Amino acid sequence: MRRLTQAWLNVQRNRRRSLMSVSIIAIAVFALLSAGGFGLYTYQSLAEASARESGHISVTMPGYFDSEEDYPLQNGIADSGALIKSLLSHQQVKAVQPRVEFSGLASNGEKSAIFIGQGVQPNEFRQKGPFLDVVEGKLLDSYSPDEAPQVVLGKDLARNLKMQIGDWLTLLSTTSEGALNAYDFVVSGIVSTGVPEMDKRLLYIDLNAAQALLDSQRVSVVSMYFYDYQDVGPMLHTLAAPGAQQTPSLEYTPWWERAVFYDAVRNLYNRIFGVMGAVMALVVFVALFNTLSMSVTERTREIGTLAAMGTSPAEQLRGFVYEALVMALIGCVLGIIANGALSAGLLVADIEMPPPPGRTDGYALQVYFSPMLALWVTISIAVICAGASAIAALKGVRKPITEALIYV
Amino acid sequence: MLQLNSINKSYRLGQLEQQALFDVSLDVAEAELVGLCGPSGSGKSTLLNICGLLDQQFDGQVFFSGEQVTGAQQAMRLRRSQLGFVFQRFNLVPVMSAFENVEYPLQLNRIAAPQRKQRVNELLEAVGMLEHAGKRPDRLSGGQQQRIALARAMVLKPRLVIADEPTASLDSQTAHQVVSLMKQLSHQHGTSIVVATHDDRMSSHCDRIIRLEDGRVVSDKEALCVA
Repeated sequence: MRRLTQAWLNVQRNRRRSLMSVSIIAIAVFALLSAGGFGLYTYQSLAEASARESGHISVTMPGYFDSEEDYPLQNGIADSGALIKSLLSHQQVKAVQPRVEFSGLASNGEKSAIFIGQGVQPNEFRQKGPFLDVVEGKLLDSYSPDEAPQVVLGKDLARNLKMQIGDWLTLLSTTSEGALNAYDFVVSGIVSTGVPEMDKRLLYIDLNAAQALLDSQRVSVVSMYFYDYQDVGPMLHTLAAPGAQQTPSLEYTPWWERAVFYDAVRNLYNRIFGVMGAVMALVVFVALFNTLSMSVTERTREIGTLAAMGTSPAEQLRGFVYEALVMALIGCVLGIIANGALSAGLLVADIEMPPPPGRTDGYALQVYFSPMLALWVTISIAVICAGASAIAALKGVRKPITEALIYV
Repeated sequence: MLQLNSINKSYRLGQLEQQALFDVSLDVAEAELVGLCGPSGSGKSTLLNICGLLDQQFDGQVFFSGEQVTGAQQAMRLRRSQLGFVFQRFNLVPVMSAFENVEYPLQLNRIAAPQRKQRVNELLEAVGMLEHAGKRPDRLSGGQQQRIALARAMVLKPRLVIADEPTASLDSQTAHQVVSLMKQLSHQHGTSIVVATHDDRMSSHCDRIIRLEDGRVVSDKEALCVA
C-alpha cells in the first residue's frame, strides 16, 4: 500500500506531464472499448440474424449443403414428422421448423421471373420474430386445401411482376418425379429482407403447398431453435452421439457453419480492430515511455541515492513500474467510464447507421459495454505501461552510482 | 574496520587517461571520525566513493570488517546493512515524509514494523526532529533536512558512515549542530565516519585528518585542515 501511495505521489511530481499520459491512456481505452463494443454489438446482431434465418441447428440428409440435387427434394428428409417429434423431446429446444427449399418460374400470365422459394409453416414467422419488413399486406395464414394458397413476395419480385395484394400468381416448378407442375397462388403480402438481391427472387408459400407443388412429402431441412443459444454446442454433441443417430443418419449443421456473411464481417472487423489495437498500444507505449524517461532523468540523483543505500536495481525498477501502473489504472478507469457513458447515451440517442453494402436498411448504432472486454483492455494496457516504464527506467538504474549522485 | 590497500584509480576522458588516486592506503578504526581534506580535484570524492563501496572500478584491495570486497552484489549487500551516507545536498526522497526517509533503510533490511517505528522515533528524537516526522523534505529547512539525512544514515547503527561535505550547505550554527550530532551518534553507536570536507568547522571535530593532493595522501594526522 505504501509503495502505491509513493507511486501516486511520484505521479503527482509533474502533474501536467502525468495528466497528458493519463489522458492518452484514457483515450486509447475509450477508443478500444468503443470499437470493441461496436464490434460485439455487430457480431451479436449478425449472429442472431444468421441463427434466426437458418435455425440454431439445421438438420438435413448428409451432404445436403455440399451437393446439388438432380431433382427437387432428392436429398430431402422423408419422415419429418417423427424427426420433429424426436427433436422437440429435448427440453432445450424451443421450436422445430421444417422447410422446403425450391426454385422455379413465377408468372403473372404476361411476364415470368425466376424465383427462389421457401415452403414454411406459417407459425415460423411468429416464432422467428420480426426478421422481415412487411411492406404491404400480411404474412401467410394457415394452409387449407379448400382455400386458395397464399404467397408472400419479395418487394422487388412483386414490382417486377407488377403484383398487388390479392393478385393471382402462377408458380411453375419441377416435381420430385421430374415433371413440370404449376399452382396458382394469391398474393397475401409483400416483404423486404433488407437485401436487394434477395428481394428480387424470394417468395414464401406454405410448407404443404410447396410439397404439393413439388409432389413430395419430403422436406429440405428441419431447423432447430433453442431457448439459449449456448445450448447449441452441447446439443450438437448429444445429437451426434452414436446412440442418438437417427435412421437414416442425419447431418446436424450449427448456424455458424452456414453464416457466411457473419464470418466475413467478423473476420474483417477483427482485422480492423486488431490493427487499431496495435496502433493504440504503440501510442500508449510511446507516451508512457516518454513520460517515464523524463521522470527517470529528472530523478537520476535520487536513483543514485537509493542505490547508495543498497536498493537493488530490481527494487528501483519496481517503483517506476508501480508509477506506470497507477497512471494505467487511472487512465483505464476514465476510459471505461467514458465508454459506459457512450453505451448508455447511444441507447437513448437512437442514432441510425447507414445501410451496409448490399443492404437497403440501416441499423441502430449501439456500443456494447463488455466488462470482460474492459478487463482485457485494462490488463493489456497495464502490461504495456509496465513494460514501457521498465524499459525507460532501465537506463537510470543501470547508471553507475557515482555518476548518478553527481547528476545535475 | 575499513582497510584500503594500494588503491589506484584512473578515469578515461576520451583518449586521455587521468589518474585520480595513486597507491592510496588507509585504515579506519572503529568509532573513528576521519576527515578527508584537500583542494578540488585532489581525489577526495573518488576516495570517498571507494570507501563507501560505491565504486568497484579500481586497482587495489578494500577490506570491510576483515572481508575483502570484490563484487557489486557484495558491495550492495554491505551498503544496505553496514553503511550509512550523508550528502552535501541531503538527498532526501521528496515524496517521503521525514519519518519515511529515516525508515527507508530499515525497510530495505526487512525490519518488522513495530521495531522500525521505535527505532525511527529514537533517531528523530536524537536529532531533535520528532515533531517534524510527518513533514516532507520541501517543508523543512536545510539544517532540518541534514538532521533527517543524518538520522537516516545512523538508523541501522551502521559500522561506517560516509559523509560528503555534510556542512557545506549549512550556516555556521546549523553546521556546528550537525557536526556535534554526528560525533555524538558516532560515539553512541561505535560508528566510524569518513567525511570529505573543506570546512574547518567539520575538520576541527575529526579524530584524524587525511590530506590529499593530486591523488596522493600527503598527510595523515590530527591537524586542522585548511582547504
